Amino acid sequence: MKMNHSTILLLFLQNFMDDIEHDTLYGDLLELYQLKYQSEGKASAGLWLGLQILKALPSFILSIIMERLYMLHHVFKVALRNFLRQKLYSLIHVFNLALAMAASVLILFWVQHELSYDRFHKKGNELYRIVTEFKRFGQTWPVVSIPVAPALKSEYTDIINTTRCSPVGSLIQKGDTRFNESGAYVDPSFFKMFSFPSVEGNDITGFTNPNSIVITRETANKYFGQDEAVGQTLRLNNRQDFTVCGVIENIPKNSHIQYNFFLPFSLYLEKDRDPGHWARFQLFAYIELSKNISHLEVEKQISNIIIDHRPEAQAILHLEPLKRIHLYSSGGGGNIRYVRFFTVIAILILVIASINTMNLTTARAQTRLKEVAVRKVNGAGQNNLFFQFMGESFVVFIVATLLALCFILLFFTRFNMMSGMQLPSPFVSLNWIGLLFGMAVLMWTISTGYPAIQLASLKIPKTLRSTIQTLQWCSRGSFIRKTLVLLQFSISIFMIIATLVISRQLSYIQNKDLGFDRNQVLYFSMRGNMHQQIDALKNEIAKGRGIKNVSLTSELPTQIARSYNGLDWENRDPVQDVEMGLLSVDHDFIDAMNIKIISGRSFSNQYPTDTGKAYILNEQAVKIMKLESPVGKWFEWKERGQIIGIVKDFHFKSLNECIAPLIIVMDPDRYQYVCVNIQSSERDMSETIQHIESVWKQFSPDHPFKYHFLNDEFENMYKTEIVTSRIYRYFTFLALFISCLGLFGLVVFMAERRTKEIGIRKTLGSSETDIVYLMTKDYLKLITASNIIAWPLAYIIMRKWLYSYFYHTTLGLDIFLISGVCTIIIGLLPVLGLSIKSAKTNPASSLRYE
Amino acid sequence: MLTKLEDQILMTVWKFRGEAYGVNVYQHLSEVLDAKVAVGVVYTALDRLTKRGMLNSYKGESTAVRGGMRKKFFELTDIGIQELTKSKAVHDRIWNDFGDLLEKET
Repeated sequence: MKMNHSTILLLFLQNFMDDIEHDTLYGDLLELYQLKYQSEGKASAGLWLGLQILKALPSFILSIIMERLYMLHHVFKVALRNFLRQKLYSLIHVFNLALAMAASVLILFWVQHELSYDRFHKKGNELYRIVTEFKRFGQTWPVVSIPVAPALKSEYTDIINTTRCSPVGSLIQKGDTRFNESGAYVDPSFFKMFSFPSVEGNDITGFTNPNSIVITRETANKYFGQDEAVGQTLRLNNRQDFTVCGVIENIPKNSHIQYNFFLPFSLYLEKDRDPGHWARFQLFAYIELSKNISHLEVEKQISNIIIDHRPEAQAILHLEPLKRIHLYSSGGGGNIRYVRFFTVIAILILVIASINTMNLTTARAQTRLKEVAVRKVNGAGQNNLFFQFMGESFVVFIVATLLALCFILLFFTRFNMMSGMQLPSPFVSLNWIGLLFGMAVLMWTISTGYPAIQLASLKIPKTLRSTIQTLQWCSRGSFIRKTLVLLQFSISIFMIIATLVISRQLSYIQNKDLGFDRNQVLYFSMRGNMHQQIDALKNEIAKGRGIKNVSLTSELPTQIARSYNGLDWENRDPVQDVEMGLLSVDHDFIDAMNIKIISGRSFSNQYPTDTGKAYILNEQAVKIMKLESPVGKWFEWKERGQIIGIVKDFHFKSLNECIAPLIIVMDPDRYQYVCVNIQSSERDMSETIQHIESVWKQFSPDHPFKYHFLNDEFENMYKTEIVTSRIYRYFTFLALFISCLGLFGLVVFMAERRTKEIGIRKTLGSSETDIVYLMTKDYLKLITASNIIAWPLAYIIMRKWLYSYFYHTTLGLDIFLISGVCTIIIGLLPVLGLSIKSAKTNPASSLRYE
Repeated sequence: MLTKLEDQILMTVWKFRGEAYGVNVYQHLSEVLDAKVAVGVVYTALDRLTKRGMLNSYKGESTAVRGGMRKKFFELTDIGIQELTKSKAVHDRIWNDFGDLLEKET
């Protein structure tokens, strides 16, 4: 028969009416349809049938809903009764789920925030940052030279806009209000490319003249309060007045560009010594590509532009999509590895909680075999039973979800503080509530679906007789249960090992001897007239109490970023070109910082040639230069001079990198920081700092006093690691706690089930120890097995993680043993407690139980 | 009290004597009333009358016709017959008063 619309309609009808109740009606309709067909034709008959169905639909649907509602009402009543009757069980169930869900949502808040970086720009998909790969040392940094961006724009039609961006810190002043602010020199197209709208909501067109400044709303409020900022003037660095030509909305937290003010790039060009130089990598550059072009294509074309102009630079350009900057670039602030890592942890916590739910449900299902059988005898179908069990756990999930909601709101601020992050408030976007419910529904279907199907499909005779066959089902259930517990504890153990390794590596880094003193070293950056009065400044500071040493340096010893090539030395292999870090210090610095001289001497006042014509190298430099007995040999950086000493290698970069070659010179023009070694107790510290502040006021009255400690600076370098390990530690304990919660639930249940057995055993003469052993041995075996599974896995993964650090601690056996013993103790404690309790019960009372 | 439609349906069921089911009741009514009757009306009326005990329903054997679907037959119960008689009496009484009009017309 040819399929046509009326056939389809009939099939549709048949589908709904093919039961005992409705087959007669269906037959009637069929007959009527045929009659119509004969008398009025096919089309009219089809139309009539369609109309009939349409008319019947509302009442049809209503009747289905009513029927279901009635069933639901019943299911919920039973569920609520069960929920309230088994208080401990319900409590464990609910807490387990609520904790896991709240924890995952909190983690995912953070993950989502990390992923949201730089996604608010309207042109986000077309924006790229130019990064330079330095062939010579195989590293890539997001810096370019001044001429690159304009050249790209004029030479390639696919590049629509470019902007350079050079960060600058300035003292901004308006009347008596003055602060140090961070800002940047940018090309006017900056505001065309990035979506930083003005307060009024328009786009900023750019700078009106070379002396105009664009500030953020927050900055405007700071200086002008509620007054209109546009048109007013601000004084920069006590020298130059700028007119505010635009106020932009505050830059969102999830932007990698974070400046408070913007100055025209033309000013930067005026100040630069050699703006046409192709190989002085000093600023950031962003480009906007036309819409339908792949950035790889463009990258191929532009990659050699620097080499074309300066072959010796050996620098190759690449394009980095804006959205990847935060997470994928080195020094981008975020790290995609941590994001993935925490997503996995969120999922693992959910898995652990789901396993708990599944285990508790299957375990408890055994006590309900009779109930199932009775329901079946009374005519409940598989569907009814399935929905009943699903409904019962639905109540648990609803309560748990609401509790999780409370947990999240309660702990959000704490989590924010702990993570050191400024996550947007949970009230800004309510997507996460959807996520929470989605999570709940997913866990609900997975973790209750299986037990519910199992239970609903039981055969009546088997269950009612409750003989071997039922027991078989139970033991099958218990096999699965054991596997799940195994999995759960393996995850927990893995997480504990990882926590231990991470915190050990961190304390290794923090306590590692860097080769110089970094405790109680205060430093500040020289401002105003300090540069001209270095000696007077040093003397004044040194007068204070508790001050051991005052020294000057061009860079902080924790992070020396500048490096130079084109160096020459005695007996140099002509093809060898080495790049070395450069540090310029005064004659006190090396001693003050306790950097060890291994041969030769340090800088000294007694030799006037030491300024500019003497070099001190580190061991690594000597090794690379292949110089034997280097002291006394000549060396050339700017001027030819003598190597006067060798210092022991010290760590002047993050411990993720190995120690690079370093030149130390004495070049007063380069001094930037004053380092003060303080030797005073905590109590006198404030007095010492006050003294330094008064000296500051004396030399630089216009600038606010700002100081830091070297140790803080050092720890700042590992901020991500420290924060990550802290968050991670909390969630590990949470995961372990949830696992134990599940185990506890199981044991409570088992102890209850075996009350009689224990009573009988005791009457027959078994001792309390026997009983405790009987009840705990299974779990002891399980946890031991989990250790065996988790150890090799953790070893492989954590080894890989550790080796990503150049300097790392060892992966000792003790870590594994500690985590093993930990889990056994923590996991078995509740088991042991409960079994001792049931072992001590008087058999008379346990036998009377039920 | 029976409505006019119920009255007519009961009589139609009687007319078919145990062979009455949805389709022929519907067809007969359409013919007699000489108007379009909605199918649903017939079925709801049949259901209502069954609930009120005036009709009795039973299912026939399944046959080869109409896709093997069984028919649901209706027959009048004693209550049904009583109600129908009552209805007839009321009807007659009212028509008695109306007799003059008919005579005048003729």
